[in-house]
Amino acid sequence: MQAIFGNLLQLDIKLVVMWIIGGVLIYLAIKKDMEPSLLLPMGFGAILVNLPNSGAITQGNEIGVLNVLYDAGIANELFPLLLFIGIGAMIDFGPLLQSPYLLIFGAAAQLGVFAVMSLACLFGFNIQDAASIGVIGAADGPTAIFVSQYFNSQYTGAIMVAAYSYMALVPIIQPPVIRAITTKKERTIHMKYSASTVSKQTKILFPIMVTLIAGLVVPRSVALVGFLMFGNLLRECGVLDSLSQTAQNVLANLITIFLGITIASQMQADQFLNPQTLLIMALGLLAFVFDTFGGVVFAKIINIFLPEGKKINPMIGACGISAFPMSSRVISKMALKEDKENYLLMQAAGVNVGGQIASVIAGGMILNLIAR
Amino acid sequence: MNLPLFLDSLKILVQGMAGVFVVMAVIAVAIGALNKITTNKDK
Repeated sequence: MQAIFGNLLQLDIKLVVMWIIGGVLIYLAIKKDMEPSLLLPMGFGAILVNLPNSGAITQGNEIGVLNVLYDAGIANELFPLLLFIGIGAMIDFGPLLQSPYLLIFGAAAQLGVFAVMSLACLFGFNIQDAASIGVIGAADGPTAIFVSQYFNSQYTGAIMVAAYSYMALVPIIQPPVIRAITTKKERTIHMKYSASTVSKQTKILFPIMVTLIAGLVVPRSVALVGFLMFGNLLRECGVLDSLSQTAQNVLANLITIFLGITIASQMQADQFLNPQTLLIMALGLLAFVFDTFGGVVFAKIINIFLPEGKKINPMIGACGISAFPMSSRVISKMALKEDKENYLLMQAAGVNVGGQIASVIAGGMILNLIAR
Repeated sequence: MNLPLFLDSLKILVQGMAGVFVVMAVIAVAIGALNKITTNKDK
């Protein structure tokens, strides 16, 4: 009997709590459709690794498969980079190339990354862990994984759960913040959109140029930016449709499957259930709030200098948060709710893809400024 | 609470935000130039 049920005796309340957390993640993924491709594998993984003496993770001399995957794909930052090829292949930078000034809002909306890094320092995290927590505000899972792994942060599991949960909660987090800092008049500002065509040469040269600029100014960001832009070059070159489709679908899906369940290896009860996890969740939420605040307030400041008729709807600043394409959809819907003839989708999408680049640059900037 | 580290990190906050703004501005200018060159070429 001892041989059969002995393992049951090692059941611990902490493990059960982790099963519940795993169950909640699976529930949110399936019932609420919140980032299901990541939250579901993470939720299932959280249960898998929190069984007493789970064979999925290393126990003594027996190497667990999730640890093998972790060492092979996350500890060396390989999975997030490969995922970036897929993301780059999915993104159409067209709206941004038509109005390149929209990139600046992406920069403003990285405020949450750096502000929360400082706050995390105040709360007693060391600078490397604080930087990893701040990058939750990049609203970009692969960048958050890359940075936290670069700094070998012990909080990777909590950072991932926060990053992906809040990305899924953008429709709930952003609107109240935007309403609190804008007037009805500002939210109903119309922006003219003139659909101009972007030449094929521009679309092809753009990823190469961004890689060169980012690589020269922020060399540590070059892996992140380079893989994102490589994916985009596959998409835009016009002669590698098959590779582009593979990157967008097969590669991105495969990596997503492994990424989610492998991250769960960092969700073992002993590491995860501590006050720091709650603090990281709170700081992650603040990062998204600061991002939204930064983008919107920056647009309001720009408006001071713009003549009547050329003013920017400050809501589009919030799309610089990255979280593509959810943020641009949220802002577009908000604009239509305020005024049924106010179509901001293209401008919002331009800022949103700019935010994608800015979040990667912000991650690279952190790596440049803080020693490992 | 670690006030000294917080104060040190404010320097990184300023440098980081300034850095992101500079890189994005350079990319925006470069896209504008690229658009101009390729449009002229098309004409």
